[in-house]
Amino acid sequence: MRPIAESEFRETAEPLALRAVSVEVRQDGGAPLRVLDIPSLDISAGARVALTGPSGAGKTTLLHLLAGIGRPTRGAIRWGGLDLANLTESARDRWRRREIGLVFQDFHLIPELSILDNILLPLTFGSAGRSQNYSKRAVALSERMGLPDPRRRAAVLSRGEQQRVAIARALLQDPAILLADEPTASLDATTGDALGTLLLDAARQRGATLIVVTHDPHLIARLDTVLRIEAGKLMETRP
Amino acid sequence: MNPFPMVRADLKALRWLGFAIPLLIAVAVAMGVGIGAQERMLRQSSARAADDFDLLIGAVGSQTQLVLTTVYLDLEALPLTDGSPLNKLATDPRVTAAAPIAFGDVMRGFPVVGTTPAFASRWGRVQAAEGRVFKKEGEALIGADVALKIGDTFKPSHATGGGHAFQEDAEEETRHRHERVTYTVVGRLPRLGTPWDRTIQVPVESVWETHGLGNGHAQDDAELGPPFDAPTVPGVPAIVVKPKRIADAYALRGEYRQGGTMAVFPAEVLVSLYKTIGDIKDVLVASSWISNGLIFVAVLLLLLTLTGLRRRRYAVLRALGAPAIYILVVVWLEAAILLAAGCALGLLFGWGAASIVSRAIEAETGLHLAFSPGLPDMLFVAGLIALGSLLALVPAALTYRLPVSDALRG
Repeated sequence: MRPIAESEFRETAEPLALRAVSVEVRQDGGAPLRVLDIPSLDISAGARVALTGPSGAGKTTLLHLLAGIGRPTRGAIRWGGLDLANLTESARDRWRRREIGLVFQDFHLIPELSILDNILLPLTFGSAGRSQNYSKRAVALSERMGLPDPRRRAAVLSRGEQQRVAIARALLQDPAILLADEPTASLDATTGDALGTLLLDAARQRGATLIVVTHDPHLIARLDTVLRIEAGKLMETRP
Repeated sequence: MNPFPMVRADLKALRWLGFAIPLLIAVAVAMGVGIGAQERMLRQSSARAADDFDLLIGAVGSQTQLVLTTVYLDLEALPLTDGSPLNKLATDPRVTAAAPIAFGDVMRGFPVVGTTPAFASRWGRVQAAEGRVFKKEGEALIGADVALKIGDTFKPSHATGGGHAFQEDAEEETRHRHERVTYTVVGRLPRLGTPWDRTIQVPVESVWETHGLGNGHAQDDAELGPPFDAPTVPGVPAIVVKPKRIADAYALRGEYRQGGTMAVFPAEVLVSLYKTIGDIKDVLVASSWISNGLIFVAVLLLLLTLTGLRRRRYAVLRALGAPAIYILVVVWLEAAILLAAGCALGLLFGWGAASIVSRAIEAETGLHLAFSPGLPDMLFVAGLIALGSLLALVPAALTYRLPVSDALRG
């Protein structure tokens, strides 16, 4: 396995700061329902954070806000000097493509594509395209993740292997923020532990901020900060 | 932006549907293309078949039947003119040549047609591919498709089948055989691509004599062809005239449209036939447009359903940083590729079907329908592709405003 050279990682990282953030939804034309209400939250650059809480508490909503997928009804989400809440959709798309690495519970690979094409997929969204450097980097990531032949189709991989491909895809562009939504929930304990290690190592090596929505106590125990959300509110934090 | 890896993946994910959708479209498109191509070939070939028949003169009756019988050998009985027009035409300064055409006999299903050596060689335009043109009575010049060879002899039979003259009926032919008449094949014409490729051309004098009507000349040993002797010429079903100039052709047509004769330009009759064929084609093409439309709508609904099923897949791409326009282009390209592939396949199927039908028509009538890919077919299909590409925007546009967060939650 070839380690990723330190020189390939980004050098700058920014803290995340949420101020008076709330998200309201209307269901069936009724009165607005507040599903998330965070008066203030600071996440320093390079922090490793667990987001936990019961189902429907607002964890994924917060994760989507941090990824720039959704926009709050009110409030500011600052990343360095940038307020995500004020960006247009296309600007948030560009920012997300550049700064965010996302890992999903169900991996969400494209089964018809090869391992390599799945890892390189985000490059096809922008104008940069697939360069030789990125292809080499994708192969190196694939090796580092202990994946089989990168030309193999994603459809034939085990669940653990699929999640490794998803992590490699998230790491390809050396993101400043790694967001993972229940990354170990659909894996057995051993595979989940191994995947947790990969995520933590990758974030530490890159100096990336890691925010993980999880119920996995093993993974929670290995993260520096735990944020608990209930009914859309931050209840307690463990530094 | 490079949407093609995703387009390829989406198309692969369709599995057998990726083949079935273009196939369905292809069948619908092939109908329109096939009808158009067939009609075009029929027009070109029938017009070409009439090239050597500038002006036809016959007894008053159906102009259409005169053309169908003489040019396309749809052998129905025609009313007969006497010999006087033939005689007058032979000395008319406006006429380059005139030849009587006489039908009535068959040999193993091939029509035996009496005419002059000049018309048999199409006024000198065509040379025998083998042997030579007949020079005396009892000699025969066969068309390219006649199953005889040079030197063969045969006895003609009186045709009783009318339009079925091409169908071999040995028993019927034996019963009506002219036992005292024998022809010897002396030459074979090259392929003309017309029903005349199936004819056995013999001196018109021989046909008349076979039926006990004399030889159309004052002397028994006269040379073949004009001038004929009007009083001794038996009834003539058709006279092919080659006028010297266009003005002469119109003057002759006017002159012979009275006094018990009619004169027609085959092209005139063909125009009228084409109009009828064109009307039928228009109805068929309109039907094919309707079926194309229905198939397109069905495919569109299918693609809409598929796009709905892939809502989460596209939401993931958006979450990974794909702009909305990327998803729009992927969905549009996928639909457009399926529709365009179907249309292109339909063009090939249509041409293939037209080619097969042409062979069947050729086998039935002898009319060679030369197939050639036509620009109108390509324009028709290009129009369908353009329409399909526009329709493909519908599922694409519906994914453009995909609510990513909702779709990610499934």
